[in-house]
Amino acid sequence: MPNLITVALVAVGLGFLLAVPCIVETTPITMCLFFFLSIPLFALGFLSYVTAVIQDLRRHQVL
Amino acid sequence: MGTRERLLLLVELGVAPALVTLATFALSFQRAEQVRFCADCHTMTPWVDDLHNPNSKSLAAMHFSNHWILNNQCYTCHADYGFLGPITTKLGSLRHVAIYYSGIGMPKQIQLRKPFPNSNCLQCHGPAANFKSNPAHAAVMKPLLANQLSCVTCHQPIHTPTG
Repeated sequence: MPNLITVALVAVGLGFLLAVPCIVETTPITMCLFFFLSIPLFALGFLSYVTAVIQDLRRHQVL
Repeated sequence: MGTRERLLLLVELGVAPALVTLATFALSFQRAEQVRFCADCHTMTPWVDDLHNPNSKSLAAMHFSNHWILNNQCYTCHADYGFLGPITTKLGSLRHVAIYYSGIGMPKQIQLRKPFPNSNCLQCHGPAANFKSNPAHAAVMKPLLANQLSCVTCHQPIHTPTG
């Protein structure tokens, strides 16, 4: 599995983990964890995935 | 990476996080309107204690203890009335969090950043018959509606401690 996909899976996994406390009980701290860590990790994961897909398509000369 | 694998990863890394983000947004913003949420910050303890004090004569405590506002008492008064009110309030709250954790721009005493808008009071009191028929209000209705004279000029104390 390409490295970027691993990065994406780890980032999104961590993002889910940090979102759980906010879903269970919303406090200022859990909300900060979600807004300032989970969302950027989700974004990082998605960008890594898109980059990996583009690289894969280029390697196969589709793009 | 095959097409099926790519689609599965798209669900895992794109669709699922987007759904979780949307759900958590909605859930947390709704919960953040509750008094319990405001009370979670230790800096708010004196104000929340005042709300729960049955002997307090502050406006906030009377609104709370008499259930003049049924739910989300802090938010109802402090979120600006109008279409953009909830958004500006939530952005302002993020600013509070940033100041609290960074320490940059931390005020020595907690106070309102801008004058309290009358529309926040008038959203409930404005249409009330006893508000309109009160001669004291009728005499100053224009400046009240134009926000040139604040409701809290006469109606004090708002909170004990003040702020």
